[in-house]
Amino acid sequence: MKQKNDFWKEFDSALSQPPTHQTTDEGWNQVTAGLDQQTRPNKFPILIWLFLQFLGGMAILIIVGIPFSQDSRLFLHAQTHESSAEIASWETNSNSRDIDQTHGQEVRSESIVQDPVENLPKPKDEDVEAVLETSRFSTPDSTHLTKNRPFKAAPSIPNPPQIHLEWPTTYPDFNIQIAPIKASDGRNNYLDINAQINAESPIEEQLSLRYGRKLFNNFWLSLGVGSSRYFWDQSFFNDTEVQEIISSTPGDIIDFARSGRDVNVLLDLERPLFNRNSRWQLAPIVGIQASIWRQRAQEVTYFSVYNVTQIITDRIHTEDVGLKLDQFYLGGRASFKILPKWSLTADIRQAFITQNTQNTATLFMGLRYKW
Amino acid sequence: MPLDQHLNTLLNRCLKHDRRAQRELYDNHYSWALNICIRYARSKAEAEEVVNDGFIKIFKGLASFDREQALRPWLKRIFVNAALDQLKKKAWDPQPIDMANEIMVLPKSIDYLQYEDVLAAIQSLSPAYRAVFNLHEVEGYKHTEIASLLSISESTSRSNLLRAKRLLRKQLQHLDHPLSRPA
Repeated sequence: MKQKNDFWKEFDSALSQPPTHQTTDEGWNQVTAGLDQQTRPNKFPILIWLFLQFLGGMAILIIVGIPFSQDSRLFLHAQTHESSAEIASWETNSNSRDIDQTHGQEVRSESIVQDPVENLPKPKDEDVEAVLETSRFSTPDSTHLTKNRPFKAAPSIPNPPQIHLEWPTTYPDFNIQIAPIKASDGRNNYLDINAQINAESPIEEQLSLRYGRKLFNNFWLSLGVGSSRYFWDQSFFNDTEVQEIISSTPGDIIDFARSGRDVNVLLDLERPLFNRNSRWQLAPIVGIQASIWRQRAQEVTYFSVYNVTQIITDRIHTEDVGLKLDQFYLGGRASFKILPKWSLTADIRQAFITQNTQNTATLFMGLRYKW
Repeated sequence: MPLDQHLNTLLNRCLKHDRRAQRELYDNHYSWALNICIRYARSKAEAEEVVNDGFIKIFKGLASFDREQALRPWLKRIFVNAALDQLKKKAWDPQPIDMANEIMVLPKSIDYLQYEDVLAAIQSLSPAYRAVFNLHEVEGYKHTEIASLLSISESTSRSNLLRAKRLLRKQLQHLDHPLSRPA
């Protein structure tokens, strides 16, 4: 019996002196991989979804019928306005022509505008007189036409749509955005609702919905779909600009007022780096924004006669539809968690290639829900 | 017994999925956990796999841990369960097997038993014997609990324990005792 007890005593003594084992990064990586595997749903749905988005985009392009022939720039511009017909009618008409002091400035780049000067003959004296008889503040309404005008009305023939692809020009752009962001708390999806208010002209508002998904190694891909609305009008142009317009080359078409609505698609990648598990978090982001846009514009043509500054205007109403690559941007996001699944974020972005021709300071505010 | 402040903080950070805190908890308990799991496994590599699975379960289920209790017993239960799960994944047979097949020649006598010797002897047991032996003799489970854990009857548990102990003694005493060796 004693021998038996000694045996188990010896056995227990030996068993109670285990060696020390060192952890390895490989083992720890297995644990983290296991945790990620259990918390991260299958990647394939998002990849399939992105692929379907790509197919949908291609289908839209095919349906719209982008010609790559005349202009290789990546810019889809379906122009349906009547400017050419209207301008061409300068030679023989125009009953619809008014004298107007309204003015504007071209703010949306790359509008398809034909130089009317080359096609325009200098008006005869009686033409000018007839034109000057009309009200300088009249409206384009045809009921205001007078019989004294020597011009005959030409039928308004819509031009066939002109579509261009346009690559964005390099232009510095600065945006300040405040938007929510996720914290690295084991959740793998987020949904943002953002509202953007642009502090500068043109007045622009945007509402967007952004879905983010954790990809791998704490990299997050977000896809946003938004709708923005903007407008310019003559109130943005002061008297100085009026003078500049008057003294510039005659025959130009200038913007009078524009309004439009864009459907924006944003795709960006973020990687939380600092204090990623605390309430505060910083993450660099890189992204791209593209838009399908539709705008209406009222343009004004002016003309200078015999070195006497006179403005003869023709209001041209246009409606354009386009697809444009807005910008690539780099930036950072600082997030602040307010509730376990809710957070706020400030975005600072520097766009290094942009379609816009103006600097913009943008404020993004929103709320993010993570799950 | 309430946990100390550092451990409480560490667990809170783990609950927030702080990888550094999780790594700290992992580093602090890895060796201890591996020594538990290695007794249920056939090899160190298998035990490491069990330990990692156990830590995944711990981090996933940390919210259920009662802070008024000691941490290690809770961790131990998880590692033991993880080890048993692993045993069940393998060719699990809770019934006794031929003892003759379980005998393993070890290089040292009981007077010079080292941890490695005892561990090798335990690992040489069949999964059924190994599980019951570890649960009863090392972890201190009762046969009722073992029967519930392994889905066997209490009598089978008792029988397996008895045979496991016999096997271990036989294996270890089968070696030449240094005193019995010729001078």
